[in-house]
Amino acid sequence: MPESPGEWRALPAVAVGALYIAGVQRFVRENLVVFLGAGTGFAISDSLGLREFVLIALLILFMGVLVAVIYHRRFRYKVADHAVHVRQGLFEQKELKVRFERVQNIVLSQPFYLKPFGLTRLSLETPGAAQTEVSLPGIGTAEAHEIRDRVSGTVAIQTGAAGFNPEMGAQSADSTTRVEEAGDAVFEASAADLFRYGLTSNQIWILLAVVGAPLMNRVEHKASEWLERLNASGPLSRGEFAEAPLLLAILAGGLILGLAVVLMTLSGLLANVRFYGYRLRLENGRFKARFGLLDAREKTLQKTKLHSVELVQTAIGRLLDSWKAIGHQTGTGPSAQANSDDRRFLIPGIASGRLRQVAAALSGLELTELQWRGIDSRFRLHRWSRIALPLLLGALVVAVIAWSVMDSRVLFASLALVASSALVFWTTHLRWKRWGWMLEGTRMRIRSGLIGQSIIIFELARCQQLSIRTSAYQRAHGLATLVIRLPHGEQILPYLPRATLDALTNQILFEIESASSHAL
Amino acid sequence: MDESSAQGYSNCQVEPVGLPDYRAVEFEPVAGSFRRYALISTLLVWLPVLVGVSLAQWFPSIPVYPGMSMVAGVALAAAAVAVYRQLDAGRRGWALREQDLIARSGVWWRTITALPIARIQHVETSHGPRHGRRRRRACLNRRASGGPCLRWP
Repeated sequence: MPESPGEWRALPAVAVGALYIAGVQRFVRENLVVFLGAGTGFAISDSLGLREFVLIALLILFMGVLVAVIYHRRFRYKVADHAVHVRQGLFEQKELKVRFERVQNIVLSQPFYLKPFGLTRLSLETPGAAQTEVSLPGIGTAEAHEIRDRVSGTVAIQTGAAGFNPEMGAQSADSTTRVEEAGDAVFEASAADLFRYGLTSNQIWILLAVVGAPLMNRVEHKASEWLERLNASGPLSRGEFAEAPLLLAILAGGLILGLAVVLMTLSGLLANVRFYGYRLRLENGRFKARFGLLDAREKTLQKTKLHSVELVQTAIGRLLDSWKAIGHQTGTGPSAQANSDDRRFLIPGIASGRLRQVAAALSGLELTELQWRGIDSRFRLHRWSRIALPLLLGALVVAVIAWSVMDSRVLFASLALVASSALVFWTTHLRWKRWGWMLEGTRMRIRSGLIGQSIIIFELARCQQLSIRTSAYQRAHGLATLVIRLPHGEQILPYLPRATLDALTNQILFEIESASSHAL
Repeated sequence: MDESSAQGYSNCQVEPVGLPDYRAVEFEPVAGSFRRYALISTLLVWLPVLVGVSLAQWFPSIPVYPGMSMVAGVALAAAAVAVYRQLDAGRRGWALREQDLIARSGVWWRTITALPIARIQHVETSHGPRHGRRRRRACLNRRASGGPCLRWP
């Protein structure tokens, strides 16, 4: 007999498997970096025999299943009229209540292994929580959809659907309107878009950096063995390699290039698996994104909970004409958002031609080509004089020493310093050129970057705090740095003329303080 | 009086020059005993380091720079921090307006922080022996969303 709403419910029995897999995933995610980064994993795997390895694996499996079973037995949830209640805990029972109107993000996820059982994971995220606040790891798909509709429906009714421009108390939208922009997709990403996004994503490089060091030890070990064998039996000896440095360099370069191509292709394919069939719709004041091949996900975000939109184009993305958009919600801080890619509302693989459409849907702002206002050129001058010039002078001193001792190695050190100095000159110039801001009524755009760029668009009224920072150098030249804190983190505008900064500060404070509701 | 103003609502255009200027505030200095608090907290941090480095001179197995130069270096660093904190205490100030709280700090790198009262999520006061509990001095921490809290002694 189905239980009536408002009663405590247990998870289905098959959800034990989902709990176990979720636990393993969390353990791997939280500990793999430390495990592999320290090289411990390879050290242990080298010292273990097959029997010991299987025994340890079985022990871990048994412990994991035991924990999952106990957790499952103690887990209860209840969907009441205005809140979701969860009782959970292995040794200590905790009860959590999350009111519907606090929920800013609803995530439904159906990995391939839950599909045959008709189960879905449901997660509710609230502002300010460092991690997902409510997670129902395996409930019936129909029930998950019902909870999603109840939670998001309530939010739409209570907060209205005025969207990114809430006008803080002067919301014009009819708050009881349940159907508005339903229908057409705001954005759909093709396989080619996603592949391009994968090429621009830095995740594969981060993974490579983590596993690279221990992996390189193994590769080096294997390569040495191979060279020894080649030296002993093959037509090529090690001496021949040593006498042909150009050949060696070409081989090494080819190997690195090949590895990079393989990794980038892998990254493109992984992006296709992760964001397969990406489709973003706007329904009843909610953004709904559906995607995923092995893990079919649906993310629902209230338009009113979106406080800023960031458009990002990496350096490679610039070459491939690929952007991504991030809908920022309230977080506990910049690190929380940066470290939790899953919690961000990410729209991948946007070509320049469709960027305006996506930005307009998310922010309600047409990306008109207004003139960016730059930062003062002393930003560049200051960095050049403090970093690049000392490097150049150091190079000169080292060159003089090289000339006096007639040592080519010292000369190379001097050339390296010159190259570093030139790099600092160039990157500082690029950074200065890219940094800009513009005001469009009550909204602001800030652009920053080096070769790539990031543009953040936000309502002035959404700002949380302002700081004006000045160094002695800045004070001497009538400049200051403005730090704007948004609900998800800080935005910096360095080296603004003092008069401009003061006027801007006064205007932002006015917008915040004349807004009648709290911007979270 | 039109209908909108009768309901207490208006939306007139505001000229930037007509906005309240944050620079016009007069900063209140922090409590006079803050200088003593700064000195004591600096000593509490640096004294163990200084004692540790001094004692290390007596143990030949611990490789430290010979002679008293290490101790002198640490003492100099501690003195520099103490002097900086005394100067900083003199520059610190705060001002409460109707809608926001403005705080000023720093000597070399100066910061003015404006925190709208409507954005404060919670306020916490803490006072202990270092703050001079008997003199009724406390530290005020205010948290808004999106970053660390603003701490004010």
